[in-house]
Amino acid sequence: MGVVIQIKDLVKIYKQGSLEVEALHSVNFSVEGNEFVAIMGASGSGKSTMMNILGCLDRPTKGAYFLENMDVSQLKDDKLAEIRNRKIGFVFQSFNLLPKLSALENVELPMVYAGVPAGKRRQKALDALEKVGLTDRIKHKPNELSGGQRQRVAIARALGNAPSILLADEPTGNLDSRSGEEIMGIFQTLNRDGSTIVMVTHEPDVAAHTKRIVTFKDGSILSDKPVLNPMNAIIGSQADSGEAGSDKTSSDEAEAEEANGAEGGAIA
Amino acid sequence: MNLVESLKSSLKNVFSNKMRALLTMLGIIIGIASVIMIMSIGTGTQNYISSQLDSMGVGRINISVATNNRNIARGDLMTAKDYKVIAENEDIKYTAAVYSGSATLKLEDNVTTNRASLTGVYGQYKDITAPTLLYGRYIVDNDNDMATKVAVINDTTAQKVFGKSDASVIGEKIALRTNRGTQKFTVAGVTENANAAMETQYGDQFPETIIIPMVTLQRLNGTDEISQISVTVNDTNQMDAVAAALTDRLDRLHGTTGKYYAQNTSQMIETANNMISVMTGFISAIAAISLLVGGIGVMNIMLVTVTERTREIGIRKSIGAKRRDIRFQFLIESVILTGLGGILGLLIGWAGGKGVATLMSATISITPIISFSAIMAAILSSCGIGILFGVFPASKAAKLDPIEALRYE
Ligand SMILES: Nc1ncnc2c1ncn2[C@@H]1O[C@H](COP(=O)(O)OP(=O)(O)OP(=O)(O)O)[C@@H](O)[C@H]1O
Ligand SMILES: [Mg+2]
Repeated sequence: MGVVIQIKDLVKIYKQGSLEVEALHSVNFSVEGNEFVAIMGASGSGKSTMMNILGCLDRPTKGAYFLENMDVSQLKDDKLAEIRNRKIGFVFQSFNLLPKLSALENVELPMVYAGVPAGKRRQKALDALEKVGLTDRIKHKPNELSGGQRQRVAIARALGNAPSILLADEPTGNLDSRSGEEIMGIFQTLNRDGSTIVMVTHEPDVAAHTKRIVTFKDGSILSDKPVLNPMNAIIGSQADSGEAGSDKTSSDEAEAEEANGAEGGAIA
Repeated sequence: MNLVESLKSSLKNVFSNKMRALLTMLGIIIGIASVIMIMSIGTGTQNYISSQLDSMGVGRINISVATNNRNIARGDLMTAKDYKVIAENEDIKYTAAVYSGSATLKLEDNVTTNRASLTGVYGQYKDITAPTLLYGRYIVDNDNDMATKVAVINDTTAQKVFGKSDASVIGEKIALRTNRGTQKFTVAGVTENANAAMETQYGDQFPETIIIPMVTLQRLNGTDEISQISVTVNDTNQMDAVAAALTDRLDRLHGTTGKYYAQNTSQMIETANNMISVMTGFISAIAAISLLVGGIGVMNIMLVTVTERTREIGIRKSIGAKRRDIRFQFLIESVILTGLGGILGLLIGWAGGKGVATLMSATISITPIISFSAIMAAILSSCGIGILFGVFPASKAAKLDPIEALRYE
């Protein structure tokens, strides 16, 4: 698979009145298709700054950013919005779901902006929710869901328009370790099925689930190492705890796997 | 994002805070309601006045001896000669003469009587002033030539005298007591009651209106006087000129000056309409101020809404909403607020108009009328205010930076 992200001499300077903060100093970095990268580093080292630029939420001060070989570093606002909509799935630490919309409607929203017709949109949203193991509770509002469930809705929303890359800034930061493990399990499954993922985390345990760890320090890359033996997320950890509704979740996942298998068989 | 999606999501937002929405709309509601109310009453009044004047005859000129002239000589009174002179004028379409008198009318029980106002008619009165004929016929020239004792009565009178009003009444007799004794008149025709509204109001005090040949009435009273000559003109734009020509002609005939007075119905309609438009204009100006204040209120609330929903805007932008999507969303919300306010105002104004008409029904019967164009104007102007005062807050929302908006607490 080709290069998805390529960054050359990327500089980001924040101006606050006369004060200038250089959050990124000439960063070079690239991500291939189907990679699973963790970005680590101390607080204030520039991880979020980097993610926001990668996610086309912000523009670099200098340098080039190629997303699927297209320079997006100095595009106009609306062009960036279109790229965010079609090519990027962004998962936030604080979920960032719209509180008045149901889980399903939240997942549909990017597709609404993409102009996907209602029927198709609903089907795609249901598919995405199934991928993250959330088939019940889809009519619930975010405040009626647990943190882990909210983050799964957010991931489903990021998957909606089949993005080129999934970006996540501390997706497990607001979750307990069990829910965090679940989220990592979902990311691993998505990565296995072909998704390219870049995520920020502070926790080495979480980073150990990825295939490559990039460490930032003071706005520069300190190290960039592959993970030799990525840890496998314990899938179905929720089923072990015997929580209500979780059985259904895991059985749905199993069904999804079966369906995939059947499809494969038909092709063969 | 298409229109339907935006509408749905905006409606949801507006209805999620009903109290605030209602208070925001208040200025618009009051503005639209007052304009609609005044317009409906104004149009109703206009219609009432024109219909009243119409029942006197459209494009009609009534000529009589000026009543403010104290010294009227015998020779000044109008007679058949004057009628002939006026009828000869080529700008005139129809001419009729009236001589009025009074009598008492025996009712059904043959004991009770009621006052009757006798209208002696001559000429083409049926083309100028006659109420709609129900049965029988009008007074014709032959009735005057022969001074026949026939009468055209109205529906209500027929009920009172015969206990019924149908074709069988034609040919029956009515008894009228004048100062020349009781006279029997044969009913020749029955018309609608043109004064029905006033009669219900004044009850039995209102005299029965009975139409008889003018010559018959003149002979009964031993006179050849004509009370009033009415004409309709060929060209209603020429009414004032024709009226002046006619009074001049009569003055010349009698060797007088300014003795004759022409009352012109189109002038009266014009005066009434002018008064109503001045009133409507005045109220509309006040309503426009109310709409302006309402619009500023909407802008204020929309600015608050944009601030409150900064995070939502950030989220929407982060997943791909373009500037125009955000701008459109807030613009639609503001248009829904004002448009809904306009519709509510319309309903309240309509109800208010009905209420006022009911209150006034004791004096005049007005049907408040809201024209289609008034409805369109109300809705369009309220939506227009939504756009006008929503553009600024919506653009402010659209310009927000996604990262800063997401970080907003
Ligand atoms: N909007 C801003 N204006 C000014 N300075 C900023 C802004 N955003 C970030 N910075 C600065 O840029 C530097 C990098 O910040 P960044 O948010 O990228 O750090 P981070 O690695 O994500 O930290 P954390 O782990 O705490 O999230 C910090 O010094 C921060 O103060
Ligand atoms: Mg950060």
